Amino acid sequence: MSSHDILDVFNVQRSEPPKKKKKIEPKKQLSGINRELYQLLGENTPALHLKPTSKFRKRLDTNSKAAAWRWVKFKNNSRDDGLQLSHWMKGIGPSPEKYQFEQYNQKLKLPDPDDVTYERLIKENDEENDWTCEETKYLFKMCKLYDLRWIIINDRYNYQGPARSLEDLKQRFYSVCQKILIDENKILKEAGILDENKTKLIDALNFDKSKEIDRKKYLERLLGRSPAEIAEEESLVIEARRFEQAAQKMLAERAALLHLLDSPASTANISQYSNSQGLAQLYNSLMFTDKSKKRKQEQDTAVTSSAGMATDSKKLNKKQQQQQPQQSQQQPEIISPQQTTPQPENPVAQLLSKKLTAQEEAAYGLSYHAERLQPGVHLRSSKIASYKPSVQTKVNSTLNELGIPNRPAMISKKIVERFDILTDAITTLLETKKQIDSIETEQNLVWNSQ
Amino acid sequence: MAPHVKRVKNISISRPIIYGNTASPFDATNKPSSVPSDHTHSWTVFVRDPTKSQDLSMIKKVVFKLHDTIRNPLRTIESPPFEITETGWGEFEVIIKIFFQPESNEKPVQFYHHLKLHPYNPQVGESGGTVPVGSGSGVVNPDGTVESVLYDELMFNEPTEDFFKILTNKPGHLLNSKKTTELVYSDELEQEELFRINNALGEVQEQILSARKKIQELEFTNKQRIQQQQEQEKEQEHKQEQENDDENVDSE
Repeated sequence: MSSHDILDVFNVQRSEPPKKKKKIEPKKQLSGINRELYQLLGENTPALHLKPTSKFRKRLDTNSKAAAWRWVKFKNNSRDDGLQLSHWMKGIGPSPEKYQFEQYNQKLKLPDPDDVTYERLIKENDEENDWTCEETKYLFKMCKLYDLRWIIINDRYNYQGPARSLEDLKQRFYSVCQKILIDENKILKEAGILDENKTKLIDALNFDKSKEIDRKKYLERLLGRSPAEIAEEESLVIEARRFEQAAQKMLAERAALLHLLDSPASTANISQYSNSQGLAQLYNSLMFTDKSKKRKQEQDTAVTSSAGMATDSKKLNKKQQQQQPQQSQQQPEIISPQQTTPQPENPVAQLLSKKLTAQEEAAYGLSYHAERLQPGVHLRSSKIASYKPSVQTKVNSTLNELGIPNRPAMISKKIVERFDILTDAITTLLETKKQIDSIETEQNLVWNSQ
Repeated sequence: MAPHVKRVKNISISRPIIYGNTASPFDATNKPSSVPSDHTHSWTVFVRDPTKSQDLSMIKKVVFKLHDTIRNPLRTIESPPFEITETGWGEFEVIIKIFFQPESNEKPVQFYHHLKLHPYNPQVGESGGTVPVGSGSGVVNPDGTVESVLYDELMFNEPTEDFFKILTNKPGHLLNSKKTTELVYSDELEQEELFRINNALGEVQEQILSARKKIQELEFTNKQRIQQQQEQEKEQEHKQEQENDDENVDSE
């Protein structure tokens, strides 16, 4: 419904309804195959506006005039031999006075120590007293010649004197420069002109040779790492990051937990819950109260509803019934096996009725067990206690440290029993070690965060 | 249920067995012409009784499943000695399946043995140059044969009465008292192994004790720190109270 309709309903008189002028977009005159294609589309214009892009090379525009190119002579001012060359230039007009690439030929403005300044400024308190004035000048010449490209300077440096390393050259150059600049700055100051940039430059000229050498050593070592070392480093970094994340998470959880514990506005001091022992205590006490509550409830319901009691007692009876046959099975067999076997002449019964000594039992490989075991046959080695794979690998490595093979040499009853005790002890040892670690990290975190 | 299926309750009987293989390499002199040229070793895989009685009457048959590339890979041996001698060039896992007498009413027991043709590499483990016994690694005998023999025990849990008779015909669990070159598995080795395990156990228990002590120490320091903190907080509260009192006095 438009405003037009509403006004009609209310009989509102309107002066001339404004006629919307439809803008008639000038239709593009398509030509060639495009027009044919658009005609195929018919009334259903596509939702997406597709702009025809020509995939063909533009036809050579033969109608327009050709651009003017002139053969112009020019002189490169950065050359000192005044060579006259020519090149093509586009367009008509006055030829530029300067060659356009002249501006890129920049020369460094380096201080130039002559004999007088050298004597005055540098000679007095020269820390590097194995440098002569000539060599210093030679160094500055080289610096100018190769635009402070130190590697090249070091390569081309050929002066009769002590061997100089790259760092030696740099140190000499920067220290001399600094001295000269300080002197210039002093003169400027006296004249009342202070150049900010110059003071900054002087500060920047502090070159630390030993640091530079160290830096290069580090880089060399970084470059000389073996792929294994790189991999190890990466894994360590990842692990460290994981530790950090875990620590953050733990702190956040702890904070949330403490907040939660604090919510009933307890007046008691919270710091006793800030370590794991405190928390465990609290947890236990809460559990205890919770359980006792539940038990009370159960008792209450049992007293109130007689039906519930009846079912309970039924259950109990059933349980007792189940237990009784078990007991009757177990007791006679262990104490007096004759009772279970109906025929006394049965050799099994005979053998069992004889009181076997421990040695005889061992000779027959006989053993009694009270607990229920699955009847059947298996290899003893399959009954050696095993743990979760992650724990098992740790247990195995500990066994190796102790010089015990992962599989005992002889899978006999005594050995397997002892071996199981040993692995069990190892797991408890691993557990306690883990506990120590967690307590230590926790303490560190808690005390560092406070 | 058939009468012989009745089981003897609450009893288990164990019988030691050894299984493994011996292998001896061919050289130019002793290689028979019938053996293919690429075969390098002659080996024997077996299941035996290490006890004095040498009694394997409870076993009906043993099936060895050899590598598929060997002709007729599934070999069944119906009577002792349960062993197969073959020639070959490669190590592989032999699947050994022991079937018991029908009186036992038991399923067969299956396990693997890694056929060893090459001696154990002493560079890997450095336990004084001796190869650990029972680890399944190849041991070189003085005559140049390689041996890999493992000890295990078959546990018959609650056997049927008939099978129980077969098992208790003779005392079947008497090992040799001393180690011999042919058979290392004996009471002596058991004692040695027990001694080693007990030593290790003592060491582990010591470590556990020291670790527990450390935990106690850590907890003790923790408590001390908490006490210190509490005292500090009390002091602060005192100060604040005093300040509050002072302010009250001022306002009055």
